[in-house]
Amino acid sequence: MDYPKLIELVPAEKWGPLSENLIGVILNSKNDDKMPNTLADDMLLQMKNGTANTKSGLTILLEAAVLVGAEKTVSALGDLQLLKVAELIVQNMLSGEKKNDA
Amino acid sequence: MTLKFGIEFVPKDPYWKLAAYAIQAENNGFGNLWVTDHFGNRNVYVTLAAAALYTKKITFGTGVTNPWMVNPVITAQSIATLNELAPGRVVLGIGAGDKTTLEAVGVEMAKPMAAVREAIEIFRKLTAGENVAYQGEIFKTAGAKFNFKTKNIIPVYVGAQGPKMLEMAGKIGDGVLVNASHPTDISFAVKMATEGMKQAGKSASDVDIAAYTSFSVNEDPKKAVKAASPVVAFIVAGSPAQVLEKHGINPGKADEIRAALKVGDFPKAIGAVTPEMINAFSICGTPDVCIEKIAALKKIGIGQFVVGSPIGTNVKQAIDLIGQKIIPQFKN
Repeated sequence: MDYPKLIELVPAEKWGPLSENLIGVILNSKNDDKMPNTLADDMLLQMKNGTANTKSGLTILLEAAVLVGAEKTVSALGDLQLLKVAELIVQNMLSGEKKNDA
Repeated sequence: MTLKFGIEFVPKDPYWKLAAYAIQAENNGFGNLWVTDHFGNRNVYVTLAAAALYTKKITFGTGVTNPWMVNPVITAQSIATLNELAPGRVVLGIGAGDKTTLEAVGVEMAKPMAAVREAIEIFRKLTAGENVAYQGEIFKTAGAKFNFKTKNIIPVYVGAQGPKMLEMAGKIGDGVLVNASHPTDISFAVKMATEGMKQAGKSASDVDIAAYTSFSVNEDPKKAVKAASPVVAFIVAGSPAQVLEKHGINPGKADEIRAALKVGDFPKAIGAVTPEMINAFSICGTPDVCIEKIAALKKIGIGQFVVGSPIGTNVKQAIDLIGQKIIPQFKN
């Protein structure tokens, strides 16, 4: 999935709330084992440096959130009316499932 | 005087989750981070190292370790090494430990007061760069010395509950971690710790007395109670009869909880938790209720309020809630 491209679709006024929502999805997920350490470290660095609500921070958070809780991520995006981003993630998930079926 | 806020994390989650919560706590005005030490969870020092690397100003330490599970020399080495990762932000929290936990690994909890005191003495000597030849009742060293220097004095907080340990904590500690939530228990603890401080010629400002509470906050009080109940069930089950009586808790109800926990019937144990138990062993409720209860503890003389498990139904939301609504009430 092209996460930087997806984040380009998020208007700047929603960066803050989206960052908070995605961190919520990640921390509340029970799928800890799906989080690669390198991605976790990148996420922590963004949080430490206060850049989790920037484009680069959101790109990392979105990737992490999709990995540990795709459905909750889609729901969080829906809550912020980021429907196009949610739709693209769902499409990507569905195409991934089709590939697996094939 | 400003009340400091601390937060406790149990490393049952991977390092990155705890580090993320630590960052969030720091951003929300918490000054201290305490990580519990239990062999069943992730290692406390590795977890603290992650917290050290990803935070900038929060003070952190073991909440608490004990003198038996690892030799005090290694405890000192671990804390001193953490202090290199985050100079001046590290403290040692040490107490007698939990009998059940120690028994599970075949460690005898003999002479807890002496063990804690000696472990602290060894810790202080080693971190001061001394060559330690120590002949204690419990611990002995014959020329132990670090090959590296500890740049600053690392404060020691003593975890204490009983009167003698509290007195000793006031006497020898830079801080006291009181594992209690009710004003009656905190009053007693402050009184005993102050007695120890007097014996050592210390003033109130020399020792940071911290109420290490079981805490649960939510805008919906029912949700706050629901989150607190499992933790309170375990506290009740582990409390001696005199402690329960002091808080007017029916010993039969406590037996009911113990029996349910013994057979792993957690819903029954949690269901048997009464409002009296919640009130005695936790700070629980809406932000306003919590503010009132914390203010009562501050009035008694605590310098730090530690938000312990469960914190809230949703930890992230609870940390934000505490940072937005509770901590600002105690600035100055």
